[in-house]
This record gives sequence, C-alpha cells and structure tokens, in this order.
Amino acid sequence: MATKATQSSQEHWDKLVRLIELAKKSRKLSNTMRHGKPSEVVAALRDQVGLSAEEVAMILDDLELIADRGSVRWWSPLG
Amino acid sequence: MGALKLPENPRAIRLFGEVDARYQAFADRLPESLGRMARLRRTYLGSPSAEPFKGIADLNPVLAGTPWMFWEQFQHFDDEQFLAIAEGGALFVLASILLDHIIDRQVDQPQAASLLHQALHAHGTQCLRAALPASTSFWAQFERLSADHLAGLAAELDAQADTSCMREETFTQMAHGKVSPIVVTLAALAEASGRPAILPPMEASLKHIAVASQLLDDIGDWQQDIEAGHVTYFLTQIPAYRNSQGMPAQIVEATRAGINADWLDVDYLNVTLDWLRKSVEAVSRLECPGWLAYVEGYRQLTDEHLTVGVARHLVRVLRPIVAGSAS
Repeated sequence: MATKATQSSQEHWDKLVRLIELAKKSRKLSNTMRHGKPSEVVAALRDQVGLSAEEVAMILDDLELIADRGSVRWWSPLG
Repeated sequence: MGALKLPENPRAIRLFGEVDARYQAFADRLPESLGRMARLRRTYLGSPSAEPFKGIADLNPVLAGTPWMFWEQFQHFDDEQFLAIAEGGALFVLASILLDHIIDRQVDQPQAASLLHQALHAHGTQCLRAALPASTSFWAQFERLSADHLAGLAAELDAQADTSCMREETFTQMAHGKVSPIVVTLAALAEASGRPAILPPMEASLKHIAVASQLLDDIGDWQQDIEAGHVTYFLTQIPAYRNSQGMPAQIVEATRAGINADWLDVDYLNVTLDWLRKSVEAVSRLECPGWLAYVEGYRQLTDEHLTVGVARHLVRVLRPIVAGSAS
C-alpha cells in the first residue's frame, strides 16, 4: 500500500499499515472509529492494533501524509 | 494503468494498428467538417484542447480494446473477420460515447455531433453486417444490447428529472446500459467463433465492472456533481444530501458532514471492490489474462482510494484525541 513517508521506526510504520488495513476491513474497528467515544477509540487502537496512545501521536503525521496524497487519480474504466 | 496493454504478439499489435488506420480512413471519407470533428480528441474524451484524436489507443482500453483484452479467445480468427468486427465494434462504441456527450450537453456543436454519431453508428453496423450474416443469432443479441443501452440512457434521464427514480435497480440498469455497446463487440466475436456460450461470462464481467466504475466515478466526483446539479446514486444514499436544501455550497458542506459522520465513501469503495471481485469471478473459467490484469489494475486503484479515504477519516478522528490528551 503506502510507501514510507517519514523516518518513523519500522515498528510504528507497520502498525500504521495494520491500522489502515484493519479500518478498511474490520467492521468492529471501523464502527468504533466512526462512532466511538475518545476513550473507546483509544481502547480499540490498543486492543485491536496494538497502538498505545503515545504511538498514535507518533504515527499521526505519517497518517496525514497518506491522507493528503494527491497522486491518486480518480479514473473510470469506462470513462 | 489505464492504457491498453496489448498481448505480446506481433499479429495482435499489427491488427490493433490496422483498426486505427481504418478509423482514419473512415474520418477521411466524412464531409470535411465532420471529419475534423472525428479527428479531435475532445470529441470523445471531453478534453477542452484542440489535440488530435490518436485513435482507439487514445481511449480507455475497455471501450474498443476488448478483442485484444480477450485475445486468447479470438486470436484464431482470420485477419479480415477479426478486423471487420473490431472496427465495427469500435465505431459502434464511439457512437455511444458521442451520444452520451450529446445527452449530457457536453459537446460544442450538438448538431454536427449528432451527424457524426449517425455516421459512426451506421458504418459500425455496416462492418458488423459484413462479418455476420442476418441469419445469425448475433442480431438478436444486437437488438437486446441496443435495447439495454436505450433503457439505461432513458433511466438516467428519468432519474435526473425525478430524484426518487434513482434507486439501486435504476443505478444498475444505467451502468449496464452504458456497457452494452461494448458487449456488442464481444457478442459478435463469440457468435463468429461459433462459441456463443463464452458471451455470458464476458458480459457479466463487463457489467459488474460497469457498476464498479459508475460507483467509483460517483464517489470521486460527488462535490462536482452537486455543483453541476447532477444527481447520482451515491449522493442519494447520503441522508444529509437528501435532506439538505439551499445553495450548492451549503449542500456540499452538509453532504461532506454526512459522509464524514458515517464514512460513507469508505463503505461504497468497499462495495466497489465487491463488484470488481464479481467481475473476476464471472470469467473464472475463461482464459483471459489481459482482461484479468485490467480488472486487477482497477482493483488496486480502488484499494488505493480506500487507503487514502480511511487515512483521512482516521486523521479527523485521532487528531483531536491526541490534542486533547496532550493538553
């Protein structure tokens, strides 16, 4: 998926990738992210992704770089 | 990604070039003003510039490239029969693209565009008649697919005039109608090869990718669609959009809030991936590596959109939590 954007540690990068992949596919995590209280979100990240609150703060910049990626071209196979 | 990857076969490459040459010959025979229009890229691709149309290689591969994407199924044809069907199918598809632009009022000269549409449709049909006698069952498929095309376009017009018509069945009908002219080429090749049974899986695969395509377009363009007053199925699935009123800018903000609250773009990108999976499954018993590579490329692109979409929502959710715990 994403290429490594900054020099965060490999471990944090792996967790970031895991977070995104789980949020794509896991209804449980996704629902908590969408509608959970902050404490529930923090608990879900810790239990389901293995991310501590401190690690969340450390991966946020890389996450933002992925979110802001403008290189993905919307393209229709029939357009 | 997005360009046709021709089979690594000199004959396939030569035949592709020949269809392009035939298109240029067709344009040369048209009245001058229509010939000029036929040679402009914007006639088919909607780009605002005066760039020349480079031929079918300029188009999205699925539009006129299906004989090559399913090369393993059709390579046994002799050159003339292959070319007659590939040319006829390409012109027929180009006619449908132009018709789409005319209906959407995206052409500079609608009267001339209507005439060019007529010329493309007539010559495309003539090529197919030369390849497939009237007695073959292809013409029943041709009628069926033409009717599907018409029904899809009419459903789109109805849904634009009355939003309540935009239901899932309507959306599917519109998408299937859009791909029907492309299926005509495959129906002709399947019939001419004496293996009509290979048409249903190819048709199903194309129809599934058509639904995926329309959905991805709608997700990517939702803001422009609101600004242009264009109603899409994706928009009608957002309660905040359905319930919003006012100027386009207000509707855009309400819709954005609705998408963010429920991650609806993520949900519908996952639906898009489901349709792409179905597209692959439909041709699981058919040898068609070129087509499968195309669908896979599209799946990867959709997955990349999903990655970016999920990351955006995560940032939006996590940024205030991190800021709150730091303060």
